[in-house]
Amino acid sequence: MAYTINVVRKNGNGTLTFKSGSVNISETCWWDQEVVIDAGSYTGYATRMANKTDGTDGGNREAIWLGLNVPYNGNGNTANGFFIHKGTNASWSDGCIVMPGAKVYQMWSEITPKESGNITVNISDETVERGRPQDSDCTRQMHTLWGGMPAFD
Amino acid sequence: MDRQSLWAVMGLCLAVSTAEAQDARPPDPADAVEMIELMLGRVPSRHDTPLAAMHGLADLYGRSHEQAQSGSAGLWLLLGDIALRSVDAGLTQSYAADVLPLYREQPDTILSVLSDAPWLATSTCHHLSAYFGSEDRPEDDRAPFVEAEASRITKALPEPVAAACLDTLSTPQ
Repeated sequence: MAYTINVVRKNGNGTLTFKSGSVNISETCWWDQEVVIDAGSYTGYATRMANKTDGTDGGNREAIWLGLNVPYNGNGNTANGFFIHKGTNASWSDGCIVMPGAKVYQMWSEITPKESGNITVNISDETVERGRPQDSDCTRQMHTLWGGMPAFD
Repeated sequence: MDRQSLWAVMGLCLAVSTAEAQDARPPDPADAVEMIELMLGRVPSRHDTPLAAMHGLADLYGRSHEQAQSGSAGLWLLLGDIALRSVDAGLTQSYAADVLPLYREQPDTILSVLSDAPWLATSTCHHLSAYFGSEDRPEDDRAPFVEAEASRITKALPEPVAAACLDTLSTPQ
């Protein structure tokens, strides 16, 4: 079975959504602002982090691995160690996407089989548009009103 | 630097390395090859799939960490340097959690490696510093740690290396 995880980033944090069966997650997530995975679509694997022993079920930490050569910071560099895993804020990140452990575990438990590239992880940025374009050139209106540039003396 | 000076520096480096190597456990050849391939940005050739490579790297971390705990920390700290330079987020988090506890148990083992290879101090001190405040660990413990270790670090490392390390340790990552 194929699964989809969507991460939409906006104003420094994001929302991770995941739906499968009776599981319906929409949760705030965080990441290190200095190491930001490029927006894009990645193949994810439900796995465990072998060197972290703080899994929700008492085993190693549950995580979604995003695969090899994941681009970050928009500068052409790639890295291999990005995961979605538990965390309460960006201090858990170093570039990973983190969210509360209970939600990670709920999502991770739903995904079968484990250790398979059966997840599509879509990461996108929602841009915020403020204000609106000016209707007209106010400077030109002033020049018309004053008959030219005013003298500031 | 002229050629004679270059050879002199290389000879000195080799002499230091040889002296240190007398006490150090030689790395497993397959692990050494994997680390070279990691430095070159390649998928280590002993793993068949990307997933196997990810788990293999975690295993390499585990083996070298065990060696470090038994007194031979060079390979583990070198892998930490590779992790930081290659922005391996998962591995970097492991180092941020694990370097400082080992340093507390075996400060002289860690500092001996850094004395022989001062260029490893940048990443090692980064990982020591990153312990504080990451994964909800308290930031409050930073200042007492720096105060307690400043003298030991200053004695063990070349002056500019020690100063840079203490500066890194004093700065939240």
